[in-house]
Amino acid sequence: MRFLQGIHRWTGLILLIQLLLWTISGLYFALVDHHGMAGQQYARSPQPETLSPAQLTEVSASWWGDLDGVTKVHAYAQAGVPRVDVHHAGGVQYLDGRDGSVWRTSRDFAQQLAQISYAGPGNVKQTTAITHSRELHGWSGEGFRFDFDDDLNTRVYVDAASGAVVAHRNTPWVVADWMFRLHFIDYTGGRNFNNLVITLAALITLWFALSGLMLLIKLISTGDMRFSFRKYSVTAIVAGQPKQLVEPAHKTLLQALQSNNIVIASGCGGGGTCGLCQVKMADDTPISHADRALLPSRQLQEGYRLACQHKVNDVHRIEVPQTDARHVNLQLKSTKFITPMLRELCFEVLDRKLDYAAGQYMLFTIPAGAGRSRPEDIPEHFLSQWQHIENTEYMHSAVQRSYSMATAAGGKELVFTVRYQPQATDAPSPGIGSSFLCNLKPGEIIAAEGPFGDFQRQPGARRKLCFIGGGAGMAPLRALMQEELNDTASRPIIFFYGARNRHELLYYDEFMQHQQRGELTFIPVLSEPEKACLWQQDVGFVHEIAGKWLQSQSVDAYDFYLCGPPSMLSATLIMLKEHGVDETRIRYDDFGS
Amino acid sequence: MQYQSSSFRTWHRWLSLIVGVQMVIWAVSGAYMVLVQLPFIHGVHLTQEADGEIQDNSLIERFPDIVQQYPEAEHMYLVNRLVQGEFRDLVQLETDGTSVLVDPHTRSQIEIGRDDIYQLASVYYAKGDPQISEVRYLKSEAPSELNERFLPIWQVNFDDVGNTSLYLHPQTGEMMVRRHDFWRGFDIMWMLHIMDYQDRVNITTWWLRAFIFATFAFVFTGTILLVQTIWLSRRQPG
Repeated sequence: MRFLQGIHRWTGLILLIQLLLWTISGLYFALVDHHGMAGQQYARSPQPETLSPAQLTEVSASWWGDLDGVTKVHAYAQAGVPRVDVHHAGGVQYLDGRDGSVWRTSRDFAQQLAQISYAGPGNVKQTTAITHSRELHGWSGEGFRFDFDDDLNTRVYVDAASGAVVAHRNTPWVVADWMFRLHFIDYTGGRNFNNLVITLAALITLWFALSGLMLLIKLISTGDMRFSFRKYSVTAIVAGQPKQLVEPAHKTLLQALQSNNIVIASGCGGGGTCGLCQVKMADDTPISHADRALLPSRQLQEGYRLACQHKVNDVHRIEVPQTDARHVNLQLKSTKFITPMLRELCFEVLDRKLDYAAGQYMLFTIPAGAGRSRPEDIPEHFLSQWQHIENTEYMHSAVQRSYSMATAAGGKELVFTVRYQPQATDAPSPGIGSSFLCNLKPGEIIAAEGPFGDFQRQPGARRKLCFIGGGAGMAPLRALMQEELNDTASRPIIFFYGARNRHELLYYDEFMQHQQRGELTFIPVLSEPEKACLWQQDVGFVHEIAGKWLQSQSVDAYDFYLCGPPSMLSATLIMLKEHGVDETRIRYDDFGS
Repeated sequence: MQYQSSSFRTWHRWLSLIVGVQMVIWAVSGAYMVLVQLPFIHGVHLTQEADGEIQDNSLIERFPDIVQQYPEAEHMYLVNRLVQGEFRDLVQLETDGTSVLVDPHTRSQIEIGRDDIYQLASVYYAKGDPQISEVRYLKSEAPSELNERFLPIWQVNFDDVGNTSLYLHPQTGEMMVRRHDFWRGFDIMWMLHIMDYQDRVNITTWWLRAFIFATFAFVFTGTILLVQTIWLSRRQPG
């Protein structure tokens, strides 16, 4: 569908002008008809002239005795003058039937012929001897042009060699001739519609028209062309307020929102190509091709769809995000390894300020190009973990990758933690997005879009907050906790954070300081502590430690915020379910899939 | 940025149901006419000159005598034509659109028969060995590929790739019209292009005009959508 749309659009763009010209000239033909275009308004055929024996008495075969291959001899009278045309191998010899001399049309005789062929109200006002004319394509030689002083500016052309009236031309003919030039794309005046330019145009037009036809067939077959008077009701949540939309079933949600004056971004006007008209609906709503192509899987799972792709009667309730998502350019300010496999990147937003809520993420556009498996600046004390990773180069296409902001809003910079994804055994390359970002140098600029996501804190002054995270899942959790701590009345926080070993505990010192200041309870958990870690605290999987703690708690007091690798996330969700935690109390950010 | 999806896209889609289908027909018929060379359509390659070289040029001196016998003659031609199995020098007379062949020696008219037509058609035919499948004399009913003003006329059908038909003049044996399947295809395309399904000549029917006007609206809505999707869509480069 998108391929067809692409063909239809770009061929349409190429053809735009010519399609208009074809339509204009076609309309002209249909309005004016043949008679108005041929220049024959004031033309008439000459009166038939019978031959008399007297006109033929002088005719002699000796006149053309030197011509080879004579196939036809034509005798006739023209304005009373006997004429003989001899068709021979080399062409036609025009003779004077009175004496056999080579025919020459005098200016006066030519004017007589022109007047015989003319039935209009005018008189000859000007005579010009010519050898060629722009109005006579393919004619050259000696001849005359006679201009008549009539309303159509008629001119009659006479060929001197044969005495033939070559053509009548007038103002309507000139207009028609231009229409033919436009219609046939032949600006030589030859009216040749087999020329190369029109051949090319015709082939593009075929693609254009056939792709349009296939799109139409698809639209009909998918029911998009259905027309219905039956109205359906959809609840749209706009800025937290429900609004009732009642629209015919065949309308798209985008149309319904727009006709109810609900502001929603749209760049392509419902074509399913810009991806801006995102709304949230039930997360089991079928995903269209355009949804799949334009929305990250993370958003699809959250129930985001394009409003232009879904009909009013397909859904009952939608949320219109108050999205401030926009395209920004980010310039890298600093980048450093904070664990052996993870970097912290600080970007400055160019252009304008970017507002976001903690827990939201940005979508980075990784341009196509060559990637490197190893960054150049691995600190010495982390080199041992990089030993087994070879330095390779690989080509990759453009991709989009999402990363959550690792700090609460308010600072000048956007901070991300990017975990390096080494090449898996069955993968063609290391992680494209992570390698690209890890290799990015300060000063370089990357395009991104955002903020997105609704992984945000739940309201409720008496609620307690339990964060459970693992690995790179730290980023949105840290932002959320910072945001909470920035509140004047911050609520109690407990934070379970799992990592493999001490090296991979992100921001350990920072959270220990928070704990010492009594701002939150921090419970780091290691799953594979090394001896060198000298680890005295919890060992195991983070969901197990959190589960044990939960046994002694009243679960209803807590809101849960989860983020981490897929296996950790699913294990934690199961654990929470086993403890009878209400689903609406759990928010999680599934960045792994 | 907010673009009304409703009006233009909806209009474009519904117009496409009516005008769009005709536009496909215009594109296909136009492409046929553009891609297949016109001289080929006209069948220039199908035939060659069938008259021979004039043997006795002095026969021209008999023109005054012949005119006395046929005083209405407007045009006189001396030609060499295959009649009754041999190429003969003959005089062809033309009066007010009708033609006859005359023997310059006897000044009597020469009748062209079925055998003459068969032989002449074989000489006219230029696509190799002529396989004539049928010779018909059409008196009052013209096939759709032939203008009625040519009647009566001889139709000579060939058993070849393009199903060639040559139409020969009943009095002079001259070839008047050539037809083959590519011409017939062109004629159908032309019919579809001008939307005159009856006589295939009228280019001013009200429905053709109506479709062209609707096409303006179709192109207009399409252009608006094009501007929206290609220039203003934020995800599309360029």
